[in-house]
Amino acid sequence: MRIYGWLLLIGCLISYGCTSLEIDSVLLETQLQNGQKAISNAAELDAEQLATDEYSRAVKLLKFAEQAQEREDIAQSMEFAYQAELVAQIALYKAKQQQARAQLIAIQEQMYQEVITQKEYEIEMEKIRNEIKTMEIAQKLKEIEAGKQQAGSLTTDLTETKDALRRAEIRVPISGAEIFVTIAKLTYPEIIETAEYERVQSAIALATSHLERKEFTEAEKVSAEAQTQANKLYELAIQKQKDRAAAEKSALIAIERAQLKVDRAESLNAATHATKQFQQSRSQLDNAKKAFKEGRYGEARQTAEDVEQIMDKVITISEVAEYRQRAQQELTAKIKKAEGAVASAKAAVTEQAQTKVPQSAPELYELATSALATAEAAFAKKEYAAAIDAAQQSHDYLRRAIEKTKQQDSAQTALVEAVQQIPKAVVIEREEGVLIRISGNLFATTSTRLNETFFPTFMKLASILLQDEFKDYAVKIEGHSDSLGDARTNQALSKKRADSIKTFLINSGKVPAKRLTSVGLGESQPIDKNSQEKNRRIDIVISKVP
Amino acid sequence: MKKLILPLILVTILGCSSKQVEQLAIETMDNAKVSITAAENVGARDVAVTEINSATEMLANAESALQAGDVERAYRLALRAYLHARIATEKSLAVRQEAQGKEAQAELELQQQATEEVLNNLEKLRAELAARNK
Repeated sequence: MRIYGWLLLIGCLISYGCTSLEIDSVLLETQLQNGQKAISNAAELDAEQLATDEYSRAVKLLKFAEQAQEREDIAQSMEFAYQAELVAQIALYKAKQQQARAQLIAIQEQMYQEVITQKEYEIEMEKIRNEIKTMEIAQKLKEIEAGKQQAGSLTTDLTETKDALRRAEIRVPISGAEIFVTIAKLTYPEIIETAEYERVQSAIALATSHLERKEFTEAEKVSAEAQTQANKLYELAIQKQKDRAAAEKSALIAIERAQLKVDRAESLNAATHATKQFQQSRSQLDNAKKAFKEGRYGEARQTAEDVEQIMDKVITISEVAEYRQRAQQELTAKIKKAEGAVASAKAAVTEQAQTKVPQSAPELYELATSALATAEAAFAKKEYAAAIDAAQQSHDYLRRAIEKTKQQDSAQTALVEAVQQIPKAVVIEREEGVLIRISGNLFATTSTRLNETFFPTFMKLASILLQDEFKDYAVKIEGHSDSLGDARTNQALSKKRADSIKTFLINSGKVPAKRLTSVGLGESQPIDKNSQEKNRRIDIVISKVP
Repeated sequence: MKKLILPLILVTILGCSSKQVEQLAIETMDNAKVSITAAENVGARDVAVTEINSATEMLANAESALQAGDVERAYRLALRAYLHARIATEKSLAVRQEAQGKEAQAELELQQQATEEVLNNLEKLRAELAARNK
């Protein structure tokens, strides 16, 4: 067993020896340098002082390593060098720690210093605060002292205060009185001219002076009186104000009334009818207005009323004058009218006198003339209305007369025109109606029998007479003869011949018998001395039935 | 010859003291473990990652070597693991210290501002007092 142990040992030894020999001397050198470098690094950080143990151990280890190198014990040297490096690192970090600690301590010291400084400052601040507080307290104390003094003086003033209170109490009615006086003045400014005002003012003054002299009892009494009087004064002012307002109103009314009257008078031309009075009153009214404006209401009212009275008279005068003037104007107009009417009527009547009217409508014309006469008479008697009426009547009558004439004229014309259609007839126009002369051999000698050739003549005549427009006309048939033979025979024959015509008109012409008359005139009315034939004739006179 | 003798002696010593070496290795490994835990406790996983990883790795290697019976190698690796763990610890502490320093610096600045403000207020009060004393 032991033999194997030895054999193993020997083997180990051999292998160990061989490997040691193979360790590179360069590696060892490097390791030694690393150890040295680590120690230097530690030294830079003052490790010799700050980590003495570790530092010196590192240095020792490096020394061992170098000794081992000298012995050529490379493995051992490597080991020591490596350990030296590690221990140097420990020394380095320890030194670092120490430095950091030292630094921390320095900082902390500084910190303490700062804190101390701060505390010192704070202490000083506190001191100052205390000082300030002390000063404030001193001030307060001073104030309290002053307050005490004031309180002392207040106590001494108490009596005065009481007096002041009493005074204030008494001043109340005085102030009341003053207020009432003021209001009274505002209400009616003229109140200051009254005795009442004087009295109140002197009462107030007296009360005030009593008060000043601290005669409170008297002051109280007088001030109460002053207040009562001031009340009365106020009532008086109100009353006066009311009176004045009433006066103002009545003055205003009076002025308005007067103005109305003046206006009325003016419209009635009072300036011409009652010049002096009117002008005077008007200027008086202006005075009244002026007085009103200046507040003299009583005077204004009185003046206005005077004006009104005078104006009443002026109006009456003016009215009468106006009436007269108007009546005169009306009369003149009437006269003129009547005059014109009469003149016009007269002119018309005169004008128509020259025409057929008096003949054609004699009754109406007569009426017109008489009406004109009436009008003229009335005008002469200054009955102008009657004159106008009569003149108008005359005009009416005359107009009617003219109308009638015109109607007749037209009937006459129609008649003439109609009868001119009758064959073998000569038409002679007359004032009213026509004469139809039919000459020639109407009958055979000594015969009363109408020649047939004349039948159309009389048939035409009959037809005309039967027309409506001519039915008011009457027909007179006149028989005329020549002067040959006995006159009495001629007359009888002419009568018979006229009757024959009448019978023909009745029988053949159907003319009503009552419209027809016949007359035999024989040779009494010849129309031509040289022609017996012309004298043998029938005259038919157609005339209007009256 | 000389080259052969020294290792022979060493091996002999080692061989002789192999039990003692094993004991030393185990102790060192324990120390390394404690140191790693300590390093982790001061936040080495955040600020000294390389160092703590190295320590852990070397400890694992040491354990492997020990199981393999290479006690000497186990001892050396355990020692390295221990040293790495220490570095990680010290580095973490240094970083923390520096961070505290920065924090303190910031606080100091705030404090300085506050002090200045108080000073301003004080000046105002002084002025007020002066005004009242006039």
